[in-house]
Amino acid sequence: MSASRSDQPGGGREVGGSRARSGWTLGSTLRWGLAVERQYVRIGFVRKSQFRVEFVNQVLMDLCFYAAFILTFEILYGLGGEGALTLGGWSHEEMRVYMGMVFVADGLFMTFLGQQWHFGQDLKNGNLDSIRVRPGSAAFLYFFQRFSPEGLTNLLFGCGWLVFALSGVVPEQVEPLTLLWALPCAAAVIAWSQVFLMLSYNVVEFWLLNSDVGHLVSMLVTSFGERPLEVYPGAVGRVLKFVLPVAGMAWYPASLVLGRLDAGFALAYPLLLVAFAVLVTRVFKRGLRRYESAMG
Amino acid sequence: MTAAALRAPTLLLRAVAYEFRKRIQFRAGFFVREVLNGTVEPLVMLFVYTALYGSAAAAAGEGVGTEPVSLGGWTYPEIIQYVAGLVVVRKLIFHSRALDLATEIFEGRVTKYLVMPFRFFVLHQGRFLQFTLLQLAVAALVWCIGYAAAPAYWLVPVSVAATLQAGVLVLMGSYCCFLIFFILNALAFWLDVVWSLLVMAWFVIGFSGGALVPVSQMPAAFYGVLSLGFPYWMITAPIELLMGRLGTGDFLLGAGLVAGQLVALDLLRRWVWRRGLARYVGAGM
Repeated sequence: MSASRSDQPGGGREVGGSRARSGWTLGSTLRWGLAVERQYVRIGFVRKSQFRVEFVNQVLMDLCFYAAFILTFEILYGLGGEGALTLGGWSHEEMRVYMGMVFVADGLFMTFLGQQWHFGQDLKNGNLDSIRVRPGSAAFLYFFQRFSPEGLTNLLFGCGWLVFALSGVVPEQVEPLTLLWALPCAAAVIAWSQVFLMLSYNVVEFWLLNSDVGHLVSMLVTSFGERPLEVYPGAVGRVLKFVLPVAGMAWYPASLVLGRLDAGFALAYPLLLVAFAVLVTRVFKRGLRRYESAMG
Repeated sequence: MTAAALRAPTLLLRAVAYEFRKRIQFRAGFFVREVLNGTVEPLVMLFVYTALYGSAAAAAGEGVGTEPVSLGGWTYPEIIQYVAGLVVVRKLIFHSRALDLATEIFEGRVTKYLVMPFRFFVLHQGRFLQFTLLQLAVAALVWCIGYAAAPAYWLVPVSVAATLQAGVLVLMGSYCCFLIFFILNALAFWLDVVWSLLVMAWFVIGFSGGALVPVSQMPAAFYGVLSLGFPYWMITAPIELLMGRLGTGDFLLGAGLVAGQLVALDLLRRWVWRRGLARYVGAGM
């Protein structure tokens, strides 16, 4: 299963040292990934320049989702009069920030990871041959291949809502300077979580072919993660934090920005996300060995 | 004429049997798509409402002997019953992904149906009927499981008449959804991609019907507008009928409104299909 050295990033160049000779340097892998992603982005824009009506439709589709989401919580908080109700301890203003994080997470997902909706079908049809190449990551090549300009547009709308929501808590609850470090950290956690959560609920398809289990888990995970984890019973909340860390999607980033976390938890939780990513990646590689097709 | 009239029902039955065979082909997929579909959102909604009413009760200082808190005219036990009803009703609503007409049009496979001695639409009606029959069984099963698990909280219809009235409204609404999804699929004659329209349509139908918040719990302005549309009579109103919050008069009003919209949608469906076929140039078989 191992690739030859000359196939790996670095092209087998002799640059000295055992790690460099193996070709697997972080720098070369990142350069390779960025080069591939640049091509995916280019192809994404070319594709959408051909389907302009579709571009508008998809932007409107996500705006409908955002509008329904915002209206739902505006109505729910409005039921008790202004400021009277909280949701698991989240005030109306905090919930708006939470929704902003949800929209950013959704925008990132739609921009880069839209291909995951086709994974079950592609697996069943044996369409994965072309991405099983060395030295690249099969998961990266497959799941990032559908860059979506409309997702990027909606990501900007989501960012706009987040800025609006933050204006309701700054400076009363959150110091402006805190945002300088908390927002980039929150964005990084969202991106990391989205990638590895997506990978985790797609690996099931390797064992339950064309079952739509991946879609169901995706919907379940996303729907649960779109609400503050405090609304769920204790055991469910703990599962969503520590077993399938959906908390990284919006709960942790929003809590971090709003200063709702104690320092120890805030520092430790990203380590859990890294451990989860390592585990999921290994399971995905194992699952990929089960893949068969008659095309390759 | 008589032979043609007999051919359509026979074909309809064959299409229903064929659709059943396809659906149970992948058993895990069947379980996920048909049984678990539509259960996630109500579950999340239940948790959100529990937290919300808990907050309201704490703010009101609710305790033993006090009246339960009412938000927008709904108490917490009523909301639980609403969510239970939502799980069952959602099963019966035609799914936006249940038609593959757009793919048939894109790939030029409609051609083969145009030379056959029956209306192409009958095949899709067969799928609607198969979906409804299957989901009726699934909805009954889900209701029984829910009732067995939590009889004190589960939604028990106030009468047989209310159950029939609610069923009629849900099925009429579901047929409206079927027509909307057919029309949106038929837009594939003009557009290259239509799935986003289907998803968008469900967002609108779901929200305006009460899949996220009961329409009668929304502010009066929302209720005034949304109660005119079939989604309200397909989701919120049938559950309120089952709970006894609405009566026969409301049912008749709703049935009239939905029937009007159903006829209008069917006319639109025919018009879109004719216009689409006029520009169809598919050569595939």
